[in-house]
Amino acid sequence: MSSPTTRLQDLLADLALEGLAEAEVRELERLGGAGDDSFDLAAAALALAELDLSEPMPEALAARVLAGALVGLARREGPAAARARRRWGLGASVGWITAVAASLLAVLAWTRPAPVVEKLVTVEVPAPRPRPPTPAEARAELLAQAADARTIGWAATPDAAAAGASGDVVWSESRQQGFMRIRGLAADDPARSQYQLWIFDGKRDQAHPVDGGVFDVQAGEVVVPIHAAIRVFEPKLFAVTVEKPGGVVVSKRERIVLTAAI
Amino acid sequence: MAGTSTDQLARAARGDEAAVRECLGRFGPLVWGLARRLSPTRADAEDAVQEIFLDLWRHGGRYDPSRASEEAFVAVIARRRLIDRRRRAARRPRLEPIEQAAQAVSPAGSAELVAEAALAARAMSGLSAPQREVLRLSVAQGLTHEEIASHTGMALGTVKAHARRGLIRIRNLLSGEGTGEEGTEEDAP
Repeated sequence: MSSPTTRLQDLLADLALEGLAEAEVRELERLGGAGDDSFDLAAAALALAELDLSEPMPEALAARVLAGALVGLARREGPAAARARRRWGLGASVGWITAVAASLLAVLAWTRPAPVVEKLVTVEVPAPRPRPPTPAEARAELLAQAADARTIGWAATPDAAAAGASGDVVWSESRQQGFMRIRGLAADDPARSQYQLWIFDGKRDQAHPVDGGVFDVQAGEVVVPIHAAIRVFEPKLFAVTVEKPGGVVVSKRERIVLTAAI
Repeated sequence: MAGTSTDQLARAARGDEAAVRECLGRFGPLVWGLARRLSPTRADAEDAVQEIFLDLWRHGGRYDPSRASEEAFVAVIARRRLIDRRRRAARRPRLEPIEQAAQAVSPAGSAELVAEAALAARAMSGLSAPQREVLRLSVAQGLTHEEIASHTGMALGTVKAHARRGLIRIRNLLSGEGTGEEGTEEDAP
């Protein structure tokens, strides 16, 4: 049985590293640790020390965040805002965010004591897409827009599942984005096994390639987005293995079906 | 309204549009980097970033410059949101093995970004190897304690002890209570 102090520290460490269940939150409160964020700060400091800041936030995402901020500000408006809006001839039901350069009249009122600010703000919101691009469309877009996007052809191994398989990998180092195009690879049964991509990085231990994600293959050609868990600095080899459903953390590499070497 | 470089969060929380834009530029890479690291997909990371910034606009007024840098405050808010999203999600992020995490320090030297990061890196060098291993798997990769136990073969209680004692060491260094360079201790629960 751990001491109350040790238990409190365990809960604070759990909170900082993986969160707490409701019962644990109540226990933390009983132990008097509800307001202690020192473990959070320690974990955050370590996260900053381990963080790769070389990849900028995508511009389209930044635009959405900005739009969301300004919409959020407007939603916190008080009665004065409504009056102001009427003064400007905008009814409450008017859709005052529109695509591309919508104008907002907002009175900003936060939950914390703060001066009320009345202002006219302009927000540029990217035109909404009618639907998300398909992987094939996203691949084409990457090839068209990323100057460093490179295409590497797949080589099939002697594995029976790879007989006649072909296709390519597209990868952009600057965007850390890529796609696999695969034709002729045997369809998998997700209940029994799945395909998993591995990326061998020249700046990392070759014994432990970067996990590029688990995927399934049905008949015909498939285009699969690559989900690299971490930044890939210098890709040297892409390899697809057959793994148990859900994939593995470390592959035994018993069945390698496709490789694409740079 | 002009402001200082250290009050952007407070100004953003008060509804200063310029500060909102400044925060996006200043903290965007940090939030994006954390989200990419702890989200299973790029799309999930993008959703997380939007939630994190909403949290920042809501809670930025609570920032206390006497306790931490704005970057550390932002990282705390971001990690809380990301951990909460992970707990809510049925799936787990795709993760790399421990050896990669140990090599995943930014080539750009992000440890120099803020004092806390440099102190944390210094504290890490003073930890025992198991403590470093557990914390890197947890913080850099987002593995749960159970997953760390499964991956390393350590008992769950040992994992928790390493995590707790490692964080205490970093916390003490951040608060000026220790140098972080004292001898490492092998923690057995």
